[in-house]
Amino acid sequence: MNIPLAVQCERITKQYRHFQLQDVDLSLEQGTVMGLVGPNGAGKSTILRIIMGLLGPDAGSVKVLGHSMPDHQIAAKRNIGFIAEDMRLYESQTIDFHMGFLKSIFDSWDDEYAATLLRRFDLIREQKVKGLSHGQRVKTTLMLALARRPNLLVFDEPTTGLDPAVRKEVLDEMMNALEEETRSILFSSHNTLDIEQISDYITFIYGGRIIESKNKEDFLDDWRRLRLTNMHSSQLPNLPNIKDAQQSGQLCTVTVYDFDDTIPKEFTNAGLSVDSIERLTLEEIFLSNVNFAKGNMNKDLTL
Amino acid sequence: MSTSIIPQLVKKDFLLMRKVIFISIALSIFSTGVITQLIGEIPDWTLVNIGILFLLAPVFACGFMLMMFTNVHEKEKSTQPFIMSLPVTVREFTFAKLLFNLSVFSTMWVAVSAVALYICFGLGLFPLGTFPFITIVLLGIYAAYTCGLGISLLFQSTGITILAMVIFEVSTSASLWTIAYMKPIANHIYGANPVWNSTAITIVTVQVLIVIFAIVATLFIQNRKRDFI
Amino acid sequence: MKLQFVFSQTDKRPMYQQIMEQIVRRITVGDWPANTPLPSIRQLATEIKVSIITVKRAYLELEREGVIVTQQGKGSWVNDSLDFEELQHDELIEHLERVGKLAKSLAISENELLSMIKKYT
Repeated sequence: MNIPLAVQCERITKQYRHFQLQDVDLSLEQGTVMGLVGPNGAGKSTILRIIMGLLGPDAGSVKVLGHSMPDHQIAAKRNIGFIAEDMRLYESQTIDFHMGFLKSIFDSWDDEYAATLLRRFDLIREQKVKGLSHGQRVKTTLMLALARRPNLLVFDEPTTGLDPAVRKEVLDEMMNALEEETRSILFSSHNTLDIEQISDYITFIYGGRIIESKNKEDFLDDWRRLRLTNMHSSQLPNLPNIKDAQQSGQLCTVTVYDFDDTIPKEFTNAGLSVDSIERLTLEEIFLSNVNFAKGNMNKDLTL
Repeated sequence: MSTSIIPQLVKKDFLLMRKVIFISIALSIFSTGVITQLIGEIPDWTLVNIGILFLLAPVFACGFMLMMFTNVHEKEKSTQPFIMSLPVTVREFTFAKLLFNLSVFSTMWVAVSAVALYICFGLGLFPLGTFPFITIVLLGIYAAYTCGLGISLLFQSTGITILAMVIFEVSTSASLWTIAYMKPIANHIYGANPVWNSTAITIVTVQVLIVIFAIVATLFIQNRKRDFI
Repeated sequence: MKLQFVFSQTDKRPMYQQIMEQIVRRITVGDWPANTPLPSIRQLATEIKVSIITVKRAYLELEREGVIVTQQGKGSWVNDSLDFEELQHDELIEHLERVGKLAKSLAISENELLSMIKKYT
């Protein structure tokens, strides 16, 4: 069965004066969730806007839900719900105005589901947007995107600036949307906990390039932190897997990438004893990648 | 299957601008009343000057506010990504904006022009020789508006739009004063019959071309924008 | 059935293992007897708000360990030829391994540990 990818980006390039997206490849299978992680200015928002057809790439191709963008953007956008941090609603109008507006455009608008979401999010239909708090605005935008029952959700930083309670509401509702088998989610976030919790795939972006794009479990499986005791002041083995090494007295902490069971042996063979092997959180992997990319390596550790 | 959402966009802008439009219509009716009261009370040329001002000011102001709130604010208040994430292209978005703004302004302009022409000629305040000149004045205002509309869509900036409107206003006034004293026009203003000589016809043609050019250029330039937020 | 899985943010183990543990616990105490159908991967994921791929992995590992049986198109259910004792045995070993790690990091010797076990069990 040949289901088209929800999103297919090939070799996307975009040049700005102080920033450049280079050769970005991104594929999202239907029915899955992909989280885009990266520091500010890495290009997450740019990629998402190119996927939405709001920006035109200098080179490369974009296909969303089988439609090539921007030529068939109308057909594609009928099935995409978009949320962005810098997106606003009409302040002087009520939530109901926006619901009516979208209902007049989308056949797929589900009144009941919209009402359910209003209740769940504790929003009042007749309230004007300008009277809403930031969290309520985000929830309103989310409700408006979800009630159309789109096949693809593209969310740029949906949880940024939200208090923990609202953040949970947003994440929960994003997961609820996946009850529908064919629904896919592509979202970006600073918050690595969010990404770690609900993503099936993680794509890590830095400096306009894709550093890594992988299944989440494999991603987390690849990295380990080894705590070692270096009693004989031996030199660390020269492994390409070492992303970072910190030494303090006889204690040594090494961050290792592409981990497999033979690696601890390399250290014991080099004369160090392995005290423990720990997994890293996504945030720690993220920071390690950023540090590594900045050229912050500390491998040379003889006394 | 793909039906365009242009009607919904136009309706949305109309709903957003309801109050502004109704207030402008009310003001126009009010000023019409004022003008009719002043007929015969003050010298006719003064009446024309004030009259044109009073009658057209609400229309022009309405047109200006509409383009500010529907074109410039869409960008400056960040509602544009919301709209552009809907099934719509840049071309359709531009078309919907032009359609809304031009239809509201044109309706008001036609109504007010009809009133102005009636007051001038229907009531016999002026000889028919003045007709070409009055036509030029009314068209001049329409042309200035259309240029401003184009700028508001192309730049979506408060500063640039205001600057452009001021420039267009001033140059329209200046050119109208100049035209009023041009021999081929001035000679026939007080004549009994309207004289459409080549000068008059050329001026009107240029004005119509300006309107068409402003609309076409806006559509053309907008379509070439690849980065639309 | 409402699932009510509770996850601890301070639990350092990978999420799929935590899910596995919660499922195994329900089986060992008898809440989910043999042949009880498990919720579909998608259902469980959307209910506990954890990514589908993590739930999938938990189910895969559980199947590898023989705790559950999965059939393409039919779903998964609790294995009926399950040795509960063996499951509990495995759980005990897991706990002991954790104890060992902690003791080591606290530099508690084997003998000290043994006397502590005597004292506290």
